[in-house]
Amino acid sequence: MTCFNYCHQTLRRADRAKSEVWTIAVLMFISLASVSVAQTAPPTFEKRDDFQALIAQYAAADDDANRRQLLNRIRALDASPHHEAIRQSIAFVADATSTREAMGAAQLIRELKGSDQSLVESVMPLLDATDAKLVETADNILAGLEHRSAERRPDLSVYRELLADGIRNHEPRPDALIMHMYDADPGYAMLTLMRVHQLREPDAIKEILWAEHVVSDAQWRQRYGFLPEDESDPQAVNQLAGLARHDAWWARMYVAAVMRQNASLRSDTDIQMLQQDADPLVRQEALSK
Amino acid sequence: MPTCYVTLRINFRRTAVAAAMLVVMGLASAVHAGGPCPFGCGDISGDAIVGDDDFARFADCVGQPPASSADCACSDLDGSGSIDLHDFALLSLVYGQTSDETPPSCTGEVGSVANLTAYRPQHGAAYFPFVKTAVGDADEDDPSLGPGVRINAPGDSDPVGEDDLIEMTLTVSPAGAQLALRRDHAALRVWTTRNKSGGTELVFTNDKTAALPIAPMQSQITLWVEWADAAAGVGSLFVEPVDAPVVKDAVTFHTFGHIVIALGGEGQVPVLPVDSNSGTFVVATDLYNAGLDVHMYDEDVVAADGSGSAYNEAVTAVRDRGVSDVAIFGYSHGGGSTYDLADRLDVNRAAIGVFEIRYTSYVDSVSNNSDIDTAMELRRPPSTGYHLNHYQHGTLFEDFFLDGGPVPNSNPPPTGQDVETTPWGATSTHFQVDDYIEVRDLMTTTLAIEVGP
Repeated sequence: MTCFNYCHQTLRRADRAKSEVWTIAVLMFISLASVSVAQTAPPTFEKRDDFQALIAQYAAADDDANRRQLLNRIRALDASPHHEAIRQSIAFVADATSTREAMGAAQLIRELKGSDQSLVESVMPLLDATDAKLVETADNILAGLEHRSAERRPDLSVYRELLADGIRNHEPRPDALIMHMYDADPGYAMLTLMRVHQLREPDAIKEILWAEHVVSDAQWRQRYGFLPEDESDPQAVNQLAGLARHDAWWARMYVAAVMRQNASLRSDTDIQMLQQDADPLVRQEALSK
Repeated sequence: MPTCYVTLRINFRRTAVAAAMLVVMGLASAVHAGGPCPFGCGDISGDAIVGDDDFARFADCVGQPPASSADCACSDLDGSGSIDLHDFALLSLVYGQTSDETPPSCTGEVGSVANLTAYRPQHGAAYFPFVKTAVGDADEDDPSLGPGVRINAPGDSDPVGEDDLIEMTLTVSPAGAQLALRRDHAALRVWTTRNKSGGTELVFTNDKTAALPIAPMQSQITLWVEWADAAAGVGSLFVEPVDAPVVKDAVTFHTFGHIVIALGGEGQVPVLPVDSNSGTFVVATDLYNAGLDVHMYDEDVVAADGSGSAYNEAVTAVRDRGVSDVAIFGYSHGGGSTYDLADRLDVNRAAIGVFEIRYTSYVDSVSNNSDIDTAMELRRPPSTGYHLNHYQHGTLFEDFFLDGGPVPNSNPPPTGQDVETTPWGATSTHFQVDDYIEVRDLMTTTLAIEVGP
């Protein structure tokens, strides 16, 4: 090898190495940034005396004129879309001690809310509240948007655009909402997030669809007595094992949620692996009881 | 009738005279050759106490052959073969009390007194949300009105912990009396602990226990009664002396074939004492006190798809406790949850088992998709056999336009009752309709007819 060739090859290796170092540095920066964003604590909800007093008066009012006046005063405290007024009303519902209080505040929320998606935006911060009763009430109100019934699985489509917007706008991931979705129905949650993340390759899409179908079928058989509730289905377990190692966190999240909700499909090995997952939400779900 | 007999009849409470008669007459211990008397000495009527009724029966038998009737067989206290003044003297010694002896072995010795008291069923760790309620003496040995007990066959699962045993107290006098329990159904098992701790079961040999664990200075013990068989039935426990078949008290248990679920309105939570403004819970408490297996809930425990703890309790009742009849009723959002719960039970029949939703009731039912759902619930609960529906059509602004409404194929026919068309409910609002005595009484009576013992 001539000196020129040796020097040329050495320089090329150096350039490549430098390029690789820069690439690694950029990737590390992006990872740290995303972790930093994800770990930003959401603002804590607090009840406000001014709102609570007006809501209590509204619930106690027994004539329309008085009620409309109070509604206007509440609206004046919080500009449209009245997210804060709705949250304060939900907090009032959570603490209600009578049917009149609870239903009065419920009627107020219906007066204040706009679209279903707007209501979701109002409710979302409450999912991170420290008051367990408030979180439970917030979950309940979201459930009302999902058309739940004994005869059908919950419809999670109301969250899809909101989540897609968040990704487009590089907003923090709404972990509490996602936990709610997976708690409601892990399969539909995963399928919703698959669409939100815009998979394109048919084979990649089919992998997810097929796995969800096999697991759902096993659960359907358990629900209607074709399979004992405590009996495992090998095909479903196999599909879950595959998804537990999927690149997408929302697929691994599905596995953790299914295994938490259905002991017959649980794999201790996979759960232990997911408890060490790179994604904090997956770890949280895998550690949940 | 000899004058001495008349004199004794007037003065029979004077035990000194009676004792003197014994000395005069002498004690005869001949064994009566007639049929055995199943009751204690002097307790001719079999009510566990020697009283005027027994005396009257004895008087009718004086001079009669002991074998002439059951009363006369029990009147020959000394087994002499004749019913005479000696028997009367023995009767007098135990008058107003009880005896642990049976004819013909009567000596006049006063026996112990025992009283069994059974209670209505527990929920979870104790009786909340109900008050601990004793079954009355008048009902305790009735196969329908007496204490109900949940079937607790092996393999039964209790979502809230073992709560299927019935508490029963035994009060005795004198303290430390030596008594035993006898059963007439092998499914009855008795424990000294509510959670069936090891070594605390009372052993029945030939359907009778040994002496109960009553300490010398103890006058009351608490026992726990279990129905440990998958088959339904009726069975009694009797408290008796260890070595004599003298029944001092009895309690008759019947297995529950039903479950009743009560769901309050939004913001209504079961509390003690029961809130008089929560009509649903007032009805539930009345039904519980009448002997039904009632479970009272905050409507929030029923999710929009019907799932939750109320559903789980109903499923375990059908699947593990032999329940075949389900009743559900609710007010406002509790009415909406009544629909959702009935719907889920009906959808999942294949995995639950065979049962009927025998009875449902709405009071101003509001759809319960969420805590802020204010739509009328106008759907008849799926597969219900009898649906009662009370509603008010609205008071404009007083109750936020919250209303129930007509429901097809409901009672009173054809679609239920708008209480505002009645004199007593003309000014009703959504917040009052569950409190009318007329509404509550109709719920109680119709449910008891459809589901009650």
